[in-house]
Amino acid sequence: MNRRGVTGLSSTRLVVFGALVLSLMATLAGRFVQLQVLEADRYASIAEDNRTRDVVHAAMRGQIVDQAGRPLVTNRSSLVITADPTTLRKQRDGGAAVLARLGRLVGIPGPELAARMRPCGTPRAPRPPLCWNGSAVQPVPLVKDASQDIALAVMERARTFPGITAEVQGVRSYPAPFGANATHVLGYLQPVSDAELQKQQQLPKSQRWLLRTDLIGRSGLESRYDRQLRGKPGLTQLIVDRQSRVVGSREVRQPTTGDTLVTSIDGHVQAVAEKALAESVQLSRSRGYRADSAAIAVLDVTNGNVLALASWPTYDPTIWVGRIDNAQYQALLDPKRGIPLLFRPIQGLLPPGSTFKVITTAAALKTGWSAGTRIPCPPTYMVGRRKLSNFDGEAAHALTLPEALEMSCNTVYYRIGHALWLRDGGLRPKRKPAEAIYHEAKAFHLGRPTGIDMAAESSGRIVGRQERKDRYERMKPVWCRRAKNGYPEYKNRPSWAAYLKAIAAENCVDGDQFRGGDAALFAIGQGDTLVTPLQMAVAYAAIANGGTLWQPRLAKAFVSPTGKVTRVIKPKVAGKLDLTPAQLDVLHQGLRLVVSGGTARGTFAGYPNDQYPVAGKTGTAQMGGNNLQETSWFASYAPATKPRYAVVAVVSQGGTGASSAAVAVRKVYDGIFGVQAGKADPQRSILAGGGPVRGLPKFRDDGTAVVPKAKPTATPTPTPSTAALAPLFTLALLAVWRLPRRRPRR
Amino acid sequence: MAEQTAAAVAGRGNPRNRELWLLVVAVLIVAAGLANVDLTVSGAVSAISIRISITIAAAALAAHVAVRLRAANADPLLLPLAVLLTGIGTTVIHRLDLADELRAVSRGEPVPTAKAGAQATWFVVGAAAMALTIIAVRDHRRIQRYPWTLTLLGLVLVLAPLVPGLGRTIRGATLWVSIAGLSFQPAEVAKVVLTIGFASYLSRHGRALGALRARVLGIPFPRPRDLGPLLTVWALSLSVLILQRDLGTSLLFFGVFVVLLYIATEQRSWPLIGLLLFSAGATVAWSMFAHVQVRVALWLDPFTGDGTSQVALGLYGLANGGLFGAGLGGGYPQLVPFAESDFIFASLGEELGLVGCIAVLLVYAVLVSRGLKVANTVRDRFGLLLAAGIATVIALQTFVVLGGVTRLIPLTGLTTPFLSSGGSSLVANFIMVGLLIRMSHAARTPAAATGSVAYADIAAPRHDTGQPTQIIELPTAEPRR
Repeated sequence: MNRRGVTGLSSTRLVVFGALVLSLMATLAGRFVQLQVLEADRYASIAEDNRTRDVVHAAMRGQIVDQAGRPLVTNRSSLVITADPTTLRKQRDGGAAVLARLGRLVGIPGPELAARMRPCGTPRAPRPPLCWNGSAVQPVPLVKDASQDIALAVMERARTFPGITAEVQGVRSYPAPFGANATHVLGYLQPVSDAELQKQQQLPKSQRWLLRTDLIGRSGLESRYDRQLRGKPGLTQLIVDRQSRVVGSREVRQPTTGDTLVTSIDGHVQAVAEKALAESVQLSRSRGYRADSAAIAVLDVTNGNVLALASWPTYDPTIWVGRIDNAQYQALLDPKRGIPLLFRPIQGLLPPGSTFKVITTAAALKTGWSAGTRIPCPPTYMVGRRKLSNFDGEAAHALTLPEALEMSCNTVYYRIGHALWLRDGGLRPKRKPAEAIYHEAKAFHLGRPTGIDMAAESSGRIVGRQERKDRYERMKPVWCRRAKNGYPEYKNRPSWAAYLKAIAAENCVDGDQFRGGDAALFAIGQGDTLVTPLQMAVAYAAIANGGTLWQPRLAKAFVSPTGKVTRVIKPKVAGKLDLTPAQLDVLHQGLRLVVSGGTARGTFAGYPNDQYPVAGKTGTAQMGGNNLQETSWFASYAPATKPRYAVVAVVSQGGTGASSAAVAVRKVYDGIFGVQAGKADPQRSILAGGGPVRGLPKFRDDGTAVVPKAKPTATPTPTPSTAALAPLFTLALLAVWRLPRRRPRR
Repeated sequence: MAEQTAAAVAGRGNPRNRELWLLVVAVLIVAAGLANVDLTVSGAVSAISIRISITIAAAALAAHVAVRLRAANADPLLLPLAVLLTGIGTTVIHRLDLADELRAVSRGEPVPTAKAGAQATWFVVGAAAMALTIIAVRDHRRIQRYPWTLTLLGLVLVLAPLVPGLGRTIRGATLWVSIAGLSFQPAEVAKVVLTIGFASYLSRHGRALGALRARVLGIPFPRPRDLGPLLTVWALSLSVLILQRDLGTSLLFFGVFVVLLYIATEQRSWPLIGLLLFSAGATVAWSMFAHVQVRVALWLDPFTGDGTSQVALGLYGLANGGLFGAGLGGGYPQLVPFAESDFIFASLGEELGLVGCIAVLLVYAVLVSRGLKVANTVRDRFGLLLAAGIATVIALQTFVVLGGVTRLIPLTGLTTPFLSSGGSSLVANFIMVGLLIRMSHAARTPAAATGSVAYADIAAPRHDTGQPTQIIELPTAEPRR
């Protein structure tokens, strides 16, 4: 049959077309030969990046040292048992048996170890921080701080534990010189979060030092100076062949240890302050006070250096090392334990009470009262129909301004506050009311953060006429609703509920009014005023140094791992007080009288006031709250003749200023001035050399500081270097131990 | 003897038994490949690989039964070749799934959905579509009755993604249609419909278009009015290019029409005119559209910038493969963007090497040659054009994609037939295989056969033109008694 007869077509065209198709295929085949064989090397060299694998080595984190060079945070080597996921996966059972054996050795069930190896986000993986958030090919650390016996057992029986190794890793350690804890100042580390890694992508490539397995500072100095402390990770490029076998390596960059942070903290002063604070809390409690929390700050008034900054309750910083467990974390946030995570010196908000009176005095001196003016100090003072009384009904005839500070006579300040309020027009204020006390408080930088180099500082609250109006606009609906409905949540305490309802009713009607009573209470540091202990310390330091408000700071300098100073942080002036020397002198006089003959005399009995006179002010602040006890304050500086230190302590619900806070402050001065048996001796000072270090401590070229010899009174600390050597020694031992195993046996 | 070699390849006996054996071989190759991937990457064969192997085996067996029942005399190579290609594709996709999973896990990102399982499912759908084609189309000649309807339907399908609310633009090309949450590429279905339309149109009017008028440079040229159909298809292709920014589909449609026009009219002038029109269209497109310029620029210099363009990464991969490849699971094919679809051949080339590439290329060549063999043996004009058209679609698409990946020609963005991840493409390709099987059965069944299977294999090669045909015509088995 003729094909053409059926289809009308010959197959010639198909043949031609078929030949064309085959030639196209042949062209492709030729191209593959060219690409994959003939020119493969050319492309391979262009694409070398695709055949190298980067292995990163975390850098050692920088140390944090105190002003004398004593380490506050350093690194210690820890034996870590790691498991290589690739090796384990190649086991017949996926490594379950190996992990079970390891589990019996370390006392953790095998399945839990397996869970720790699961990458975060995969099925059956536990939640962070228990799951593994590193790379899938990187060895997973399973057990931290393993004993040397365990490490030995694992390394020695490599065949029983394939893929399991013991490694020495650096973890944070806290040498705690003289027992100084300083937890809140130092801060803690936590695994880096996804958000932080994302944020890093916006930085230029040369600044992206954060690795997925890294820890990052989450609070305190560790957080504030994380970038400088972190160091730069090292990088080794492994060259792999097509079967992923490593055929060579190239060290691209060695890891660089982070810089050492030199702080203004003095380990010994910190230790003494912490101890004194804890003792004052116990003292208050022994007298029936709750003493729920406390804070202390020690500043160098000449430059704003923070010598000590402590909070009570505190906690052990080592709970963050490795892995914090849930119970420990909940305890840090437990109100019944006083929320130890809070850093009271910068986060605690308290009414300043009588420590505020220096500000009222300064305002009075600026508005016409003079040092010698005698102001009556009756037991009570009437503001309109409201009767305000002295603390415990004390009274004196008539007092000069310094004497009023000495006696802490409330009625004197009521009178000043009320008079200034009337001068401003009272309830019908002038167009531009002077608000002298309010502006003086602002001049002392109350109501705004001090700017210390720590995160999450509170700004406190100073309420003047404008703030009151603003708050009224905001709160009016709430107050008026409460005035109508009362406080049913307090139905088992009807009198308290009625009191609150009355206040709400009053506020609903004229909550925007800055009343005479408000002005009077403001003058004695009560009412709506809230400050942080550090704000008061800065204010008193300014009085002491002649009117300079320093920005308190903790970081003084950074020193490279080779001992070179890489950055010096200069002290910063935050502001100046607008007070003449004569006006400041009135404050000095009054504050000295407080200690020599006034409210704090008893507390400073036996203190060598002739050698290193202390100037200070007690405060016993009423908390305007629900059945709260008074706050014990003592704000001070010394030596009054040539001020150097400002010390402020506060014990919340701790009783009178003199009975608790002042006791702690005295202990700090006793230490700083080397007071023993009523005599001060600079030789016995807890500050080596009798005062803060001038400039910076000296550093050797290995990055360690030349630390002054500890005083005989100091508690000896173990030298960290030998402690760090122990695990290294073990590893060396292991290396030797393993050698005979290579020989064939039997 | 060539006959014996072919017989050895296909196995002896009943063509369906040979097909069954070849299918067993194909499925075993795929299962071994999947196991190889798993063992290299994770050290153990995964459940998903076993599931994929079983799915492919079951679907292939079902398709085979359909062929056995309804197209018993069909070419035994067509189905196994298609199954082998799909299986190799699924293996590479599975390998990329594992790489993506590993990367996501090491970066702490959510693990992306695995695509290999879906591909196996699509294979089931494709095999079903193929079986349905064979069962529904009892005589392929029936589908040539509607040239205009089919061409119009093809046109509607091609342009469907442009309908607002229906179309989806993904990666700059408007190729997808989304209905009730399911999205598919209508151009893939249009590929089948238009090929049928072209074939039926040309089987009727081809002769008329073959009339010649003037000679230019010694080559006879058609009458100007006969240029109409070609110009229409040219305009259609250009509109696809302009409106949908889809270079590949545009080129494919035009190419298939030109090839069929040439086969139908036997006039050499048609390919020349086609080439001229193509050049004109390409030049206009290049000068007017930025996305075309980008493609050309990346073709001329793929290593521009930091050397990580898709083409450059694909070339690195191929070069890394070398002669024998990095081995399944041993390379880094995941580094190439869209490694599982457009660039699947770069992944394959990296891990299976030149040897693997040539092997897969040969599978394509054999598949296309079997298609041309059907064209050559089928007894009707429409069947010839349809079979040739299908072979052209597969050949042209393979060449355009692989040419793009190997930087022979600019990258156009077509799926690699049978290999690429994606349902619409796979289903369309299997429908085409179904049509080839249907026509092959018709060609290999004696005209007078009454359904008896005793002489099912008797259809002899039918070349009486005296031309050397061995190039394309793989001999069939000798007629048996």
